[in-house]
Amino acid sequence: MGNIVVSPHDKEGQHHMMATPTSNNPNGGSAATAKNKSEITVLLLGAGESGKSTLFKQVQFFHGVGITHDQERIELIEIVRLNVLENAKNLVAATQHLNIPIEQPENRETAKLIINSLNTNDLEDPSWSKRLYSLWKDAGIQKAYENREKFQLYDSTEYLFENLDRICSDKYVPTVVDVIRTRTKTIGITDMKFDVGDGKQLRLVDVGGQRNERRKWIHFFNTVDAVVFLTSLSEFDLNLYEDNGYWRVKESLRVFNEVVNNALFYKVPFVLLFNKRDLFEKKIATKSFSKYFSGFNEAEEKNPVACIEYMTKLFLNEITEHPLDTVSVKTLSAIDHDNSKQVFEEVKQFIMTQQHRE
Amino acid sequence: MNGLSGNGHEEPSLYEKLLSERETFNAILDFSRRSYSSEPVLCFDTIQNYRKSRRMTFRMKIANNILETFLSKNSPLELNIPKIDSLHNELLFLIKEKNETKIDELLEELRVHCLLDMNEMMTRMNSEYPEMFRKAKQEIYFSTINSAFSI
Repeated sequence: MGNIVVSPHDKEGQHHMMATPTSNNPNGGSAATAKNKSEITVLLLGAGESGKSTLFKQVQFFHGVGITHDQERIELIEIVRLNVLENAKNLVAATQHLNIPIEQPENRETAKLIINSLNTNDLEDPSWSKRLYSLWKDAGIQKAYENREKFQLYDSTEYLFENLDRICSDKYVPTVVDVIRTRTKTIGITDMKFDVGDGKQLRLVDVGGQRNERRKWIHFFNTVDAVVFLTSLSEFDLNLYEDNGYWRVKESLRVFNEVVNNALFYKVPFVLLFNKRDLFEKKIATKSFSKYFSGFNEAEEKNPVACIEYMTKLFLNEITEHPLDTVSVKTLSAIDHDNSKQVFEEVKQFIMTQQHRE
Repeated sequence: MNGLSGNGHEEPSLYEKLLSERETFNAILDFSRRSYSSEPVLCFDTIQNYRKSRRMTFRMKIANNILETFLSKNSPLELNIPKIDSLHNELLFLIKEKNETKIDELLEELRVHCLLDMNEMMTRMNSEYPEMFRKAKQEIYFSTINSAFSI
């Protein structure tokens, strides 16, 4: 793996915005000629909150782009703090919705401030670290957190609350891990390019995953050389952000079906990544997996390997058109730097091998 | 961005400043279009027009435009927002009732949502055009100092 390629709009290897693709081959011919192409376009697809942007940020980080630099991360202070506030606000709202009282009077006061007036600037004051941490540890908030499948909450909640002493400081500079773990909804499409040897560049394209974002994906379908589809293992008990009455697994399967069986992708290598394995393993230790899948053997529900095998079958059963020998399945914990690096390297090798086979 | 709370209460922010000036607004709109993320920018601008308008008939026209353009499922500029159907119905009801106070409140929440949805795009843009952001930050800083002295 080589250097980041700087596009005409880039400065010092920063990732750049994508221009409208110039290729206009309606038959997906790019895949057929991919062996001779100097640029391999890989699309990261998947429903909302499946971890596409987390993996994208990790790949940027491997290549020394963007968040590697302090100055880039300083610009993200507001976003990290906004994540803290949004999580706090969602937890407080959940206590009301679930009728769980916040136990300590001083925490109830903090909750009121969160709902009514607290903003990201306030979090420069270290006293907020103690107040928010005390709220986080309140038995009422912890009970709401245990029931987090009933409302929308970021995966990073626990991490952010456990790091409040750093975040609520006027000297705070987000670490790479803070940035990786901060949730920012992707709107639209972003890309980055890097050398992969043999005079070739890999162009990695990240997209938004919610329903209204998906119609934008088609702009890149004609030029794609490989698809990496992410789905979250830990979403088995969750509903959608954009449609709170709709089960995330069902949505993910539907989107996967539409993408993998799309005629434009018949000839392209396809990788299915089961992400958030770390969260999944924690979750099945306390929550029932079989409750959500009638065909799964209840006796095996604490065994992550058996659960993942079941999920894999569920997804692979959706494949009706795509040749199975060009599909690869892997698990991933995108928040884990080393794991992301290793899995992405395997994905890259798989794609390159498939390209050479053609 | 300065002091966002994510729940409808924010101080004048960096993004708002950049979006309030024609030249920087056009640069942002162009950048967002190139990354297929112009919906929150255009919706924010339309809400600003609503806020500036005084005549009730014109305000209702703009509110209707927001409803059809940004809050209708499958419209080309549909916002990325939870429960869009119920938001659509709520605004439609308020427009029919000509309930300006409630429309103001709902559109203010929508305006903040748009600002938040611009976060990721603005971060990328900041990387590419740091000078534009630095200048706006400086202007906000000086204007804060001036207001403090004028008090």
